[in-house]
Amino acid sequence: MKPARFKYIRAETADHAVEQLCSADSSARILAGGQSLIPALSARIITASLLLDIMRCPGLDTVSQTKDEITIGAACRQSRMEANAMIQESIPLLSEALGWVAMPQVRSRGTVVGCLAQANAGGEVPVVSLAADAQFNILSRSGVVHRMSAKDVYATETGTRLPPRTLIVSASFRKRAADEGWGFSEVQLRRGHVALVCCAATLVVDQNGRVDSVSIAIGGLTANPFRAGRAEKALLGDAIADDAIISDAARIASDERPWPARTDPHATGAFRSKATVAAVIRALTDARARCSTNRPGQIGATNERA
Amino acid sequence: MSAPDAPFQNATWENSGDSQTALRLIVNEKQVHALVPDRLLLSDFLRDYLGLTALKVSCGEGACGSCTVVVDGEPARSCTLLAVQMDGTRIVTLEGINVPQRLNQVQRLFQDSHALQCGYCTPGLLMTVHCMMERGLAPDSDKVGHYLSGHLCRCTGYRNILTAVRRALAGEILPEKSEENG
Repeated sequence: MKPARFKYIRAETADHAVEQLCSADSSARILAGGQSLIPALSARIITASLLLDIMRCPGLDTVSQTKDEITIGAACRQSRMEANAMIQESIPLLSEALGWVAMPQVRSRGTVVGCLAQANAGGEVPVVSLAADAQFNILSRSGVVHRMSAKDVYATETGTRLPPRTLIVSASFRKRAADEGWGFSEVQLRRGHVALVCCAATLVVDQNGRVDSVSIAIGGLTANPFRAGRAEKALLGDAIADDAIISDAARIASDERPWPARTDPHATGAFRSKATVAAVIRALTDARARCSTNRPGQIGATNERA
Repeated sequence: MSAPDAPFQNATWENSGDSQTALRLIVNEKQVHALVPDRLLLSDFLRDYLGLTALKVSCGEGACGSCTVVVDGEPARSCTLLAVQMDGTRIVTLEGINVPQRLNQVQRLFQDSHALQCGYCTPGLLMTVHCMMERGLAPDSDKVGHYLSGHLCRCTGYRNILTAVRRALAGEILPEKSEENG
């Protein structure tokens, strides 16, 4: 047995899980799919006194929608969400990004919300959550669910600002507007490897081809993902058909990182900065090609996953 | 062969203070009831408790794919799952789709295409191929490479594996060779 000793409990309900979390020590952890957690325990990078398995809690394995958003429960697995027709239609950015998360053999067990909570550097789902203005629905002890935006959750260089001893029961993503284009691009060493950098973008242009609204989120360059607010502002009102406009915005986006660029054995910070420019250009170009159409997978996208 | 619902014999576990949890699941169409340490990995449970040693443990962190099994119809890494997480699931290992003492059709195609050398990655690969075939993936589908990206092979350079998998997905049937029984 590779991990150090811990106690495992199958939580009966979400409230039960939070209850247990509150009466345990601070090393207790929520276990969803475990595709990041179990390897980390096996390598003894972390240890835990208690693992609370939430995958059988009633109500956590559902996807629901309102007029404006889609809510994905904490027990929803990535492979199912990737193939979910409602998500393909209304958050195609997420469907596409999920195709870049590890490999099918990992996505079969990993969860969408687990990705958000784990916040691995370069993780695709947190980046999408920023671009799609996601809200995390967080359950705390008294049974109260409160909302926290992805922007707030990741507004720290490392880790998350999620309150301790709580459970993310679901995450709500903004639905794509009818005329909104989207793009997701990633730079990997090889297929299935972690992202060196990745970028999620959404774009709405007016009748004159000028940018009405835009979101650009970048992951991997820094430990936590960030929204490139300055680049977004620079693009507003510009003619998107001009490739130079997109290139300029990509450079601004890479430069405005709020924290130092990450260097690790796979890539230097300087390389990641350059790769970010390329990733943003591709994501925005794809988003431009998909504007003003209701059909996912519109021709003209440069970054379709093979 | 034991009856389909006969429980597996559990390996004896010398308790060294580990917390334990009861587990019920179906492995290769057989009901399994066991009391296992909470920190036991699924790969170790299948190999050491149930004697299903076709799956191999290599990297132990979900990167290489040699421990791949089928969980509820989808390929999954048995080294990044706890045995106790598998309560209520249905697992298929290579032993469940093997023809005892012979080669099944996919194995014959692997042999014929020289899709293996040392063979360490092969059992895991065969489980992913099994899922691809169950799904009716087309031999020229982009998803073929995508699924295979979940497996590392240090011998073949992958070309021959791709050939074997495409032949399998195309439904090619190879006759049994006489020496297989020898």
